Amino acid sequence: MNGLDERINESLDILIEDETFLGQELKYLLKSFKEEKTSVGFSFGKLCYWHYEAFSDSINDDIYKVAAAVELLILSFDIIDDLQDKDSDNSWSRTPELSLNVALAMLIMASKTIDESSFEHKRAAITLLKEYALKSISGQQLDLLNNCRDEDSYVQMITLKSGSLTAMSCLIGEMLAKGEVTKEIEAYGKYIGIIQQIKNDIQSLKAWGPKNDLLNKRFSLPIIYLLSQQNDISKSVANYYNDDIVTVLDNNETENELTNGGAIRYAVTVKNVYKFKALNYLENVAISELGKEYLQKLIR
Amino acid sequence: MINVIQYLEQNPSLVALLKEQKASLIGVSSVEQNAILEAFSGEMNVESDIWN
Repeated sequence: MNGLDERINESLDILIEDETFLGQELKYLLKSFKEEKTSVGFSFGKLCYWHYEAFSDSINDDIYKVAAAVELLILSFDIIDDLQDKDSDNSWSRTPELSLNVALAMLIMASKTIDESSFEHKRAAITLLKEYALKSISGQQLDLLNNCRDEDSYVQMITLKSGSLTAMSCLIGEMLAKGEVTKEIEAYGKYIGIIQQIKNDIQSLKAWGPKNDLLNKRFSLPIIYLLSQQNDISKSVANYYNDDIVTVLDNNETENELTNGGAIRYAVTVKNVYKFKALNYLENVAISELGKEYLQKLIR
Repeated sequence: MINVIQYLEQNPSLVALLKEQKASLIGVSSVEQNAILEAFSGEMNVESDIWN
């Protein structure tokens, strides 16, 4: 873990420990769920920090608490998403009722933490948090409905679901530093979420396990491309999605079609469009070299 | 974008012409054209690593 991750991690520990309205049972679960995220790193909190640092003359240490608050909101959404998807990778899936309660506590703690910070523009930051969290929830609703079956509607859905959260993280930092936000940071903030989501979508097709979007009849850009093709494999996949017949999918053939038929290349192309747009915007933003380096890694 | 990629997949010689700047895609912005070319170039390998 690097220094910034450590500071955010420490702040998370303090926030949980010092929350007087939470019982020990809840605190214990909060801590254990947080620990599971620690190894992954706190990307959203870091987006918040770097955009505060970029536009602030000096560092108010409360920014680490705000970055931790952003991470609490993201973790609450992750927990809810996993429960909705019946994803069993994390410990919170073993106790869904209790985990839902933990997620609720995290959500409330996120805005409460910003409210209790010493920043002049904390109210505006909380307004941003609420607006973008609601946008993300709207995107999540569209995702659960699984109705986004073309490029435009799919990109619109992931912009809401994932782009809203990355944009929110950047903008809260910017808002706390200068009391206003810029369209450029909002734009590339959103694009970071879109890029990461498309990467996840490609990754999901890597293994033929319970998280494979194709086996779960979910739509993503490579699958939208595959279904638009007119060949035997795409017809088999379409039949599988339509439940028309009992279908046997040849994993090797399907994987080969996804890899060599253009489906992955198509998803990569769409991702690249957002990469180039994001890099263009980032070029004109006065952010420290370290911050820029971090953002470029997320964008590429 | 889906139609453009499908067309290029079926006409790989056109990709070579695009790379050599001997052809252009009409109705595609420069950002989109760069995104396409990168996906058809070695950069794709980065994603292939994830894929494989």
